[in-house]
Amino acid sequence: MKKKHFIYLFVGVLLLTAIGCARLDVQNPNNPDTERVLARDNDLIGVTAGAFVSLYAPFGVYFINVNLEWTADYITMTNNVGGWWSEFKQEPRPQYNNTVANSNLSYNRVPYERWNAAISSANDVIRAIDVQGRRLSTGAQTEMVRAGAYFVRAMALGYLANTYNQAPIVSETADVTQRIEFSDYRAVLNAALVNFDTVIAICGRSTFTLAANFINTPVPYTSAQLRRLASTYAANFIAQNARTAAENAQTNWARVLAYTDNGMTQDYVITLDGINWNNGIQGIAGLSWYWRVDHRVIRLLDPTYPKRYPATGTLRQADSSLDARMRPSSRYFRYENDLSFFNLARGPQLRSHYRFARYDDLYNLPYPQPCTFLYAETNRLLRAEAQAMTGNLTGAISILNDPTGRRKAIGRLDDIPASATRDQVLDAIFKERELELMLTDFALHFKDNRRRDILQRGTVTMMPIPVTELNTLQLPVYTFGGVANAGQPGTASGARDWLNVLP
Amino acid sequence: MLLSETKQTNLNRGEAMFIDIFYKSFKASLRAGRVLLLLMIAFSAPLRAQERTVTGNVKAAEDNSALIGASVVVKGTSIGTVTDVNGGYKISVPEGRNTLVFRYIGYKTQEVNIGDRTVINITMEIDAKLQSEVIVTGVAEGTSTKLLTFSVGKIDEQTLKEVPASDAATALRGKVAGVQIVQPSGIPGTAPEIRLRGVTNIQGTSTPLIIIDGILTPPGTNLADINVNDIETIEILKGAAAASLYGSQAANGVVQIITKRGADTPNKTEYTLRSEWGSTSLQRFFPVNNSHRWRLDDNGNFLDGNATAPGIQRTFKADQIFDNPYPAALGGTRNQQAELYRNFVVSSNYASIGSTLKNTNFLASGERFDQPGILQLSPAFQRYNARLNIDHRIDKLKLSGSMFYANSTGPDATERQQGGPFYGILYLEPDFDLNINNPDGSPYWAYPGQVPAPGRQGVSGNNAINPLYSLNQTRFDVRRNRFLGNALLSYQFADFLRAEAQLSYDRANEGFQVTTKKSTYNANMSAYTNGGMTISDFLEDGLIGTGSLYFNRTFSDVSVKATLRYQYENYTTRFDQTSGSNFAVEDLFQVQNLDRTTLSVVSSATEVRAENIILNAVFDYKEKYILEASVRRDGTSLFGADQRYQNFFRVGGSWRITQDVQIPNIQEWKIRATIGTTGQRPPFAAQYETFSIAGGVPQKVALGNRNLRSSRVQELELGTNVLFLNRFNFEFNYATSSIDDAIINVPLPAFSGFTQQFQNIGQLRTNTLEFQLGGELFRENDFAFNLNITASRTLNEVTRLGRAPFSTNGLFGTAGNIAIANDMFRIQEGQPLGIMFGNIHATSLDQLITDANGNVINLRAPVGAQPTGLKREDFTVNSDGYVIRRFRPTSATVPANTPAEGTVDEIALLLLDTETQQPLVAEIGNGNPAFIAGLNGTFTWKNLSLYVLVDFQFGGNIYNATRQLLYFSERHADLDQAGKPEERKKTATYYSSLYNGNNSTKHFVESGAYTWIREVNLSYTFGKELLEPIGLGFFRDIRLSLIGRNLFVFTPYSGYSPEVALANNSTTYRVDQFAYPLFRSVTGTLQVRF
Repeated sequence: MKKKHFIYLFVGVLLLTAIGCARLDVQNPNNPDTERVLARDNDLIGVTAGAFVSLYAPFGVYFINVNLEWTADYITMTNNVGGWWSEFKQEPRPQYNNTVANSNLSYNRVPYERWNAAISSANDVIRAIDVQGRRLSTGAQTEMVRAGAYFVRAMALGYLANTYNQAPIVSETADVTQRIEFSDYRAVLNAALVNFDTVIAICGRSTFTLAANFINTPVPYTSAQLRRLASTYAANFIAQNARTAAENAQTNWARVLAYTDNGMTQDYVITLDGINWNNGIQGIAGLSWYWRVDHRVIRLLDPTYPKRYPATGTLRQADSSLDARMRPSSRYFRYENDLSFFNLARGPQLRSHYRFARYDDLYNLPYPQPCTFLYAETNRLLRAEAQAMTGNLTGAISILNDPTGRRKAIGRLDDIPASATRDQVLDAIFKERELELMLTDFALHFKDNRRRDILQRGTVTMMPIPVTELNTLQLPVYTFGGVANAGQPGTASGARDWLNVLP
Repeated sequence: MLLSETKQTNLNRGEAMFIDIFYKSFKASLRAGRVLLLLMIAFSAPLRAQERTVTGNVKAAEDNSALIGASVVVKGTSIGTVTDVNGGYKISVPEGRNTLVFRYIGYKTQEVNIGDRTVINITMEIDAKLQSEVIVTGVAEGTSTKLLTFSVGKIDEQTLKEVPASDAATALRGKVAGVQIVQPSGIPGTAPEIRLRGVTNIQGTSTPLIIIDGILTPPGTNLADINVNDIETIEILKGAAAASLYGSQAANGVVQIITKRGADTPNKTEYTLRSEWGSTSLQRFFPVNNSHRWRLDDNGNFLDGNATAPGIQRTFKADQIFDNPYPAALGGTRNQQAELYRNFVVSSNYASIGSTLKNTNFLASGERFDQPGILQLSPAFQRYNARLNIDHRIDKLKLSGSMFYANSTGPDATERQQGGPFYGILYLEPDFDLNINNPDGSPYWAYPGQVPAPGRQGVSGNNAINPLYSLNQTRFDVRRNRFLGNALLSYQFADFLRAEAQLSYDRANEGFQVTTKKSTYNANMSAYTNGGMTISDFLEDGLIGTGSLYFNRTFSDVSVKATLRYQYENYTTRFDQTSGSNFAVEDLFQVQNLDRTTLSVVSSATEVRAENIILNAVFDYKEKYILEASVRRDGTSLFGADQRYQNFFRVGGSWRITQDVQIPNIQEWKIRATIGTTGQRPPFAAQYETFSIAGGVPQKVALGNRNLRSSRVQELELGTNVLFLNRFNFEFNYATSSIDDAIINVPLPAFSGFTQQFQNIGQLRTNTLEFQLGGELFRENDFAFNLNITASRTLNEVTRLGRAPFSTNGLFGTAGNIAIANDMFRIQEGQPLGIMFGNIHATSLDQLITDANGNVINLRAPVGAQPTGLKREDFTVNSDGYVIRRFRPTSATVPANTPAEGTVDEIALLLLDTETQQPLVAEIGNGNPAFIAGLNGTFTWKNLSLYVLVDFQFGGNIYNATRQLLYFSERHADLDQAGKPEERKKTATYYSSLYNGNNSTKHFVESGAYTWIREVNLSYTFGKELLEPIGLGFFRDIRLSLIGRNLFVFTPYSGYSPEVALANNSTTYRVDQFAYPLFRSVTGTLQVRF
């Protein structure tokens, strides 16, 4: 009996002692948290690198930033599998469908989320250095990381300012558990410029080389190069912030000019690796049957070319005698016979024989491949435009007529006469921007065309905050675009509609 | 009422009462039940005149107690009676009849020759097969069903073996009320999804906990590994009331698979050999467009429209109507689906040896299963199983062990997107011959829509890949290994006390490889892609240790059972994946053959620990009144650091009414009520703050939550079980569940940096009604007919969300990267899960809203602006039922008042939200069925038997995204205007307007209702009486069967089959998008037992 009691006792005690003995704290071995990501001061490098990746994520997938270039009549295609044609290429222009029924919300949502994510990571770094006083191994390294973080924040704010009608401006000390109100796109641009100025200042007083995982450049990027890059981007963001020609006239062109003084002199090239570094819009441009060049662009080189593709019959090749860049050997555009992918039911105007040929290597050759995210020509053309807008037509013409510039060296165009009017000079500059900056910065051509009022009437001129975000914040849903709203904020008036108003 | 009035005259009072009660129950629910009831009454005919009287009593062999309510029937007639409270009976036997049949549920039926006797006393033995009425799932230890306070679904071996399913999940279909099975993909080797009483999570899996012989398996267990021939029974706990003993693992219910452990006959070794061979086939083709809108020349060939580059480009007809036949000279119209989906040989071979001895029993078995499916050039699913179950008793010590090993290899395929065979086969024009060789001589011309094949004039502008080419160039291989081991030691310390220790181990290894050959064309067929490869390996280990103490004692009339159990769980996983492209040399599919610069490596690991303690007690008074209670405390590493332990409970009671009140013809009537709680464990990473790491760079993903805890599912189940007429079992359950603190991955404001956070928010409620009725409907001479009918209805609603509605966005089992489904479903307070939202084309002029000037203000062309300045009379409804402009816009070539219908100006118009001026977004469909039902029956005549299983779904929508994308590619049969009356023909523009830019649209919502003849088995069994005369007496029996699976479906759904969905949450998010179609199989089987 005693033995039995002992056994019962033993088993009971065994069970009771087992309870609560298990160690239930398990680390996540796959994903670090903030504590681990920022465990050591030098870890700030990794966080900044992550911020860069977030910043450039909207470039990664081909369908993200094609829409705005599509609606700017830079690209054409009848593909409607993702609703592109019906959303952005339809004529007359419809209102942007910012509802949850839109199966293509990611086109608007992804850039918004990724740029905000980039700002958040940049804030972590800036807070660590500027507020918490953390320092990396050397002063130069600290300055390098600081500059990187400010650069990301500046760029992300710039993209938000120039793509959306409003955005949150989140500082490194903001309490993100509380609601942060949206700021108008002009205010967001100003916030971006403050950050660009900080980058320029840091690069001006410190010498460093950017960490290899910040930007995947073919050769290490120096502080001097970053300073120039920041200057050109700052100038470009200011120039492209205007939503209308009227706003464009109010742009602080003197400040643009000042930035271009120390702007880039070399192309900004990133090596695409197919993992963190991709460029979808350039990457797919070499596919012969996918998207093509809208006739609006072809007409920049051959004004006699029809505005639209006819409903019946086929079109000739454009006259390549007017601008050498129309020649196949220049490898800007390439004529393709096959139009069978262009669904006639969606409108003959969507057809084009020409495709972009400038990035064929990117399409045809395996990664890694160098890809230009901003040409040095950007700075030259911004400088010319700023000069023209500030009354220095001679300076602008001089840039355009520079025999080493692509306009002359490759286009083999005649000089702009000294007697040219400001509008003629500006037209020449915009033509160069359309050709020479081909598909580089995010929706670059769309942003140029809206500030000239040449977008088709009813085209959206900026994106609304994505409906998913508005729902999360429980804010009213709104949108832009549609012929009925032409001339309203966010919707093109069509005052100089290239198709319907301009000759 | 009509029923009881007309039949009452032929029934005794008790029968009439029973009929009335149950007729009223059924009247409120199922029409199907009414039909069955009529059948039952017809066969339960009253007594007739008698020639002589036989009396006697019926006792149970095991304890000599009287069997009350046993059925006594004169064989060959419908004359019968039941035994009284003393087991006595009295029956009149007509002249010419000489056999009595004694039946009692749970006992072997006996047929007794009367001879000259007038008194016949019978002792009945328990039927071994029906001893399985003991339930082991959801209870602390094996419990008779009569003592349960909750419902447990059960499928016995008899039902399972009629048509052995390819996997254990399929075996549940149509057999238990409240169980919904959806097979979202026909890929061989994939088991369907199981839902018990609907969804129990707002987000995350609703797949039940799978237990195999007491071994708790981790979430995601693939039931395709389990050989159904080994299964003795399957027990199903459908709700929290029954499943609360499993706490935070059981929010979705529990399915336990119990395998065979010995022979049917004691002290004998038995052998079973079973071989099955047959063929697979596709049930029906997807409807496609066999006409086109290209211009044809005088010879019937495509008219070349490009003078610059002849042979490249076709031109469209001006009328844009698809009614031209494909040029006969080029082969005309082919049924390409018939070339892709072929009939293949399916087979399985099974062998087992089992023995039940005095102290030892064992079962060893092995199986090879070969299921090729229906897809050309795709490897078959091949599975090898081996099992050893053994039990041994040494005095008070009992040892049990199980070992199971499965090895399978099988196919996979790209579903749901372009690039896969299911996309290409529907996209390609029907004049293309899939078997034309490529320019390099390799088979299957790759991109016929982009590069014209020799002899085929022009191309159509279609980027689909030839499905045979993709299958030939890209190979998917899935390989799985599964080992399950279990050891159990039980010691009986005293009559009333037993201790048990159990250790189980589960290892699953899954490898996946996708290989694209080096010489694979790019989309232009201008160069090779140089191929590529992805190899992944997933390893999962589960180790569970359990210690239990069982107490069982009777105090006077009260018996008490109590169990104290401690369980420790440890699960680890490891995942590695390597991918790269550009093979250096052909046909060498190893990593070192890939371009080093393209290599990408990913790995991850998880570990989950849990411990829980359970206290369970059951009290019964004379087995009449049963009270049961349990409490469980769960601790797991998956809960947030501040919420490591959670409590769960259950309280239930039942009253066996017929133990107190005698009701004629009702042998057992029990009412019961149980309330219990369970929960759901969060996914591994949910509690943690996370950064993703790609290329060594961290980016913010999810905000952590230290307070993340289990969801809390509380269910009240009310039910009754009735055994009547000694033949029929009836069960009814009403269950109402509240799922609180649901675990939801909530999107965060973008400025927070983190995109999401798992939170315990929201409440989901479900209500379920279940009916189950079964029994031997009819038996006379050599005929018998058994029927079992099940039906259930479950409704769910998000009753509280605490935040604005949000789209599932690929996070809720709707599958990522599928745009159409990402935003169609949303989580919204006051709405069920599975509601489809989308745009609606106007279908009635009554829907049109006008302003003060009479202008319509709520219509928009789906691809253009709102038609402005138009009055209601400017619109009409076309022959398809959609609102269109009445007349074409006037132009130089179009005179005024030209009807728009049938022209390029006929466009279906979207309804507009007048407030936002955006396309109206409204409810367009509901994936939840109104109710589901199953009916299975076996008709036997002598040694011949016919088993049929039919299952039904009433209501429930499917979003046919395949059809929508085929509108885009102009390949759906709806666009085929050939043979249509001229006035009803529609143009490409019209169908393009219905396509609506691939946005979710009501036009593509279809009924998913069906009646499906799922399983049929026609068998003939050669018993000893037939085998012995021909010298084959050493066989127990030989059975020949002709078996059909998924035979015929009757449905209004237009796709391959109405059983289609996106992966992950197939029962809720019903979207059809280029999936592997379900197929049928017809096989012949030979089974030998000796």
